[in-house]
Amino acid sequence: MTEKSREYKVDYLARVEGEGALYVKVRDGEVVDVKFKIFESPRLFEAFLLGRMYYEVPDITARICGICPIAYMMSSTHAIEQILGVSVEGPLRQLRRLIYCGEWIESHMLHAFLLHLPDFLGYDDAMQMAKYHHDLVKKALRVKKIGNDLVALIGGREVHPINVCVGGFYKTPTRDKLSNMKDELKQGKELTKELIMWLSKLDFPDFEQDYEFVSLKHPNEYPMNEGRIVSNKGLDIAVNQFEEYIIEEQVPHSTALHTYIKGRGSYMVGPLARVNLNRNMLHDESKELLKQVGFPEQCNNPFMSIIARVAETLYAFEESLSIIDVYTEPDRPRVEVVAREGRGCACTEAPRGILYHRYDLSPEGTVISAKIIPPTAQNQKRIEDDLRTIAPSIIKLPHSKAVWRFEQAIRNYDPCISCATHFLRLQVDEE
Amino acid sequence: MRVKVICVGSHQHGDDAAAHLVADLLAGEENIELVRVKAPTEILDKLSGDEELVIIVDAMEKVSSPGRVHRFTSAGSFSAKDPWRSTHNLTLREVLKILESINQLPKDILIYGIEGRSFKYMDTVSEDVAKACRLVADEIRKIAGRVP
Repeated sequence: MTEKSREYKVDYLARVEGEGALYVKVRDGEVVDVKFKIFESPRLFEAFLLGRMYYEVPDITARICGICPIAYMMSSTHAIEQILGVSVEGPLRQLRRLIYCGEWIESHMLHAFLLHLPDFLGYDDAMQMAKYHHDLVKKALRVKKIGNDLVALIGGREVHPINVCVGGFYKTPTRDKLSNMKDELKQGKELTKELIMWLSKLDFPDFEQDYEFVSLKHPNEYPMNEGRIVSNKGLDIAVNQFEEYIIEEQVPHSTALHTYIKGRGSYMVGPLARVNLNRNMLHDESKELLKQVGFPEQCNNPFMSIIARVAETLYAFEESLSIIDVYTEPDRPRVEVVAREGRGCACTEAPRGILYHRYDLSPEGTVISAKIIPPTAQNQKRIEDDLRTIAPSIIKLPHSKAVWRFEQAIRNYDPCISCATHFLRLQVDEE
Repeated sequence: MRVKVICVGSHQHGDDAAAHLVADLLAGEENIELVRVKAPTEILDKLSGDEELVIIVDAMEKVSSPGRVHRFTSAGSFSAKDPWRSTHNLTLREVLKILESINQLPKDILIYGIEGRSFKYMDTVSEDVAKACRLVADEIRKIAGRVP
């Protein structure tokens, strides 16, 4: 490090899921290089799947992540069902949305209140924050637990559920069991409203970018398991066109592939993208609350993703209650399926954004190829673009504050590096 | 009174499965409520605040010798420097401190840290660690036997 150089390093970024690092190089006051490095070992799940039977895939892919196993189960089952020519409708389809609501609730609350919020309040971690905001943390944990309970009720257990299968479920819950959760869900909904109001008073950094937001879009509902892939800049494609438009590339500093939109560049997936593109499909209370807290019609400030995340939590409670209200126990827990050859793909909305799966099956139903593109891999390039844009203002700050602000910018995306196969070290060099 | 024993770890990463081995050894014991979790963050949902005694078992990075058992009696008794680092969300120390701040940590808590040898993916629990797990299970059995 010379007089003209400065070095910022975070060897292990805290409060993210997985292992990564950040490198920023500054020369004569100019940011010349930014790398969001992911060094977690490749997980090789796509290779593990080869030769396995189609019905093993949801349970194997669920193991990719302890925070969002439902997303993996949903994307894999939908992709395989496309090959097998099966469509899951009625209460089974609604149960799939319901279990996804549980996952959104628990994942969003964990990130928003224990991992991201300390950044806004100037605490190093959730431990310090909890000392001074213990009622807030208690409420957030209460809400998170309700999400976990919902996943456990439908999925058999809260982490790596075991009840989801191709065609539906191994066993479906009784109407009584679901109805018994209504009081808890109502309580969660009210607590979440309070939490959104509280979050809306935070001081958000003044940072906006002209993002390309990408999410699923469904004509009749807020997207979870189906829809077309759309963006605010004209992308409108079927899921089976994903690989024609979304390109993966290898970069030396990451064990996760970067993705970009062909001919355009980086894009953002996740709650902010979903809310911006599907706000009209939120339920009334979520829509009303966003309006009440002054959330922009199109929000281009990634730091405000914390509000989008908790607004989706509120939506998930509203959606859960409306599903349970009309739930009728299905005649059968799953649609019967017969193995057949073919290729299928699906995108579903994981808490962090769209999760793409594509499989080829043999006539006997064994996996002969698999491709999985998680949301964090898709956001990686966009994270680097944000860091590059925000760096000139950040490097004027004292070193420790600069490091902290860089980390906060990364946490806007709730990166799940384990999913992307890939954690965070921050290093800023200045020459 | 039942003792809540929370076993933290992953079956897939060698000695990280130490706590699960302890849980296997304690399965079916009277007075013991076993809870298995993969990561410390999950503990946030497992304590209601009305437990009287909670025992947490987790593997630790190697400090001196694999299989060595460390005992702590409060969240504050091990520092951030203790080799209990988790890059996944929240560390055990963070989780316990959060629970303490919101009054959901019982007065009596005992934390067992078992030093591991290898945490490589798909490795099995090493012999030194397996021996330590039997020792820890015996101790917990005795503690549970003493509670009224």
